[in-house]
Amino acid sequence: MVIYLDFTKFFPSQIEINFDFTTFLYYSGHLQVIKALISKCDADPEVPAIDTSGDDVDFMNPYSYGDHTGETPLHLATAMGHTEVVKFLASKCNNPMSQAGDLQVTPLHVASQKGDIEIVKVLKRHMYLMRHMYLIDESIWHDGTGETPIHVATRGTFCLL
Amino acid sequence: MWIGRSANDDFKKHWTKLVEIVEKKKLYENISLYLMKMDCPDYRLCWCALPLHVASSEGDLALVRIILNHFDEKFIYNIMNEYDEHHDPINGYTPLHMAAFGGNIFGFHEIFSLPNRNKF
Repeated sequence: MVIYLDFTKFFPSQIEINFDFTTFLYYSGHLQVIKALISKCDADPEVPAIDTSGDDVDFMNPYSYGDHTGETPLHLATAMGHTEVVKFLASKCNNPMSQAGDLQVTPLHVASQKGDIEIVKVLKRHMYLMRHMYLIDESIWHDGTGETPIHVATRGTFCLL
Repeated sequence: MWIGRSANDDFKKHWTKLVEIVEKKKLYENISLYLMKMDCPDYRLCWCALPLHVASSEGDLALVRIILNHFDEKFIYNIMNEYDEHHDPINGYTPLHMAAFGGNIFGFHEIFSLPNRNKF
């Protein structure tokens, strides 16, 4: 049995990858591994928590010294639909709305475009818990094309956002 | 199979398991397997992945813990935060990215690397 995952549903570029069913089952977030890894992320007291430009340099910083396009582990877990991993990572990071790539999408954009209601609820709940108005009001979060998560969800006719 | 220096039996067992994963999936393209068997943590697998990346993507908690505890804390910290300028494991993705993706390292590379890296 072969399942075709059309990543164009949540990624703008044309990416279409096929997995066989056994491979698909194998793809799940490794929550316990993530917990073990995070315990080592902030282990060095000699490294300041903020770099010279004022940005966080912790493990959720999308632009440390890597040369990827800025997606955080939260973006990846959201894109793959790992709800429990998203819950854990969102509770551990300072900014669940990190923007990634040329289109500057946030995890909420990714979840909205996928129509993943559970993850949208998780992200929004965490944003409310952080008590920052700029996080609570998703209408101010525009990606590189000017679309908010609501625009993205509306285009996909997902009305629960 | 084990010819490294560690006297820790658990480490030997799990490191051997990692070697088997690497050999089975042919993850070593540009590195010497000899270096890995010599207990060297700084070898590169294909796409410059390090052992912690492989163990994280495999979801092997026991192996992840052993690697975290066995090697120098500063070394692990640099991997986790991509601070070491000499490292470019998988185009800047950390073991945390690997675990969050939750699939094998081939799937990750297929989706999240050139020419597909501008997906967002």
